[in-house]
Amino acid sequence: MYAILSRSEQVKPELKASCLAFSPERMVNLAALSMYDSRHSQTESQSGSQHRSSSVKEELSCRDGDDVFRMVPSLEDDLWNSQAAHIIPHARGDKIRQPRLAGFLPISVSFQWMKLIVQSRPQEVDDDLQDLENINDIRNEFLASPALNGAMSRATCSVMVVSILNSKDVLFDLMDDSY
Amino acid sequence: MASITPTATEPHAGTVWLILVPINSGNHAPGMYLELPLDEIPRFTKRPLKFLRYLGYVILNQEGVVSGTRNEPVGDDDHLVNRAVYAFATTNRCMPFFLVPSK
Repeated sequence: MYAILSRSEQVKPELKASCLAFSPERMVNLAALSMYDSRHSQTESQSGSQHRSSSVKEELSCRDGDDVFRMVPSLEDDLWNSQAAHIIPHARGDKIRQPRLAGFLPISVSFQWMKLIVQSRPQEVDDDLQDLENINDIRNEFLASPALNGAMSRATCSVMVVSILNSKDVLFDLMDDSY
Repeated sequence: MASITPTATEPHAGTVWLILVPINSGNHAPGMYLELPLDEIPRFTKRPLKFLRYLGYVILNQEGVVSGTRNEPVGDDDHLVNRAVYAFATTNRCMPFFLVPSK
């Protein structure tokens, strides 16, 4: 299951509605994200962005079919409007950046959210994610509509994977007045 | 809305921190926190402390409790304090260790 945080004024009403509605079949689809076979994730290489976007999108469309939050099946033409979106933002990725200031020692600034988050989540839930280190790993991505992807890029919306088992009530309790 | 691994030592004015992974000063392991602008939070919720608990839950996929700057417990209905440092600590629902049968 996904929990969506959205800043209500800046996300289109219809997008917000689809984000908050969890249909059973979509839930299966979403759960598949964290259970996705890690073998497939290894095919992503550090190649150029042009190549990356097309191959990743093919893999994502095999797995997700379409924008995972779309409630009605889309026409085939619409499918390719969907975009690959990162769950943990690319900018927060997997690298340690060392900005150099002229005349000063380099300051280490870590952006390793990926590793920290994976390590901090219960292993029994994210069992197959312990080798997840690359921010561009397909397990950190899903197909999103341009509107949702745009909202995520502008940091007005974010998506996190939450396990369904035993936690549905907890999540809904915490969400009850969060929107 | 978010920030990571301190170069700053305290929250900027008009923000609070929510520490998700404590910074380990002993081995310099990186920590992780969100720096949340106070004026943004009402867009999400009317109960900000409960919202912090929600954020901790969805990011770390575990239930937990939020404590304040001096490690004092805070309630869901409390108000946020400018430049406060809140910490999310997961509550482990496993059996206490003394109840686990020995092998």
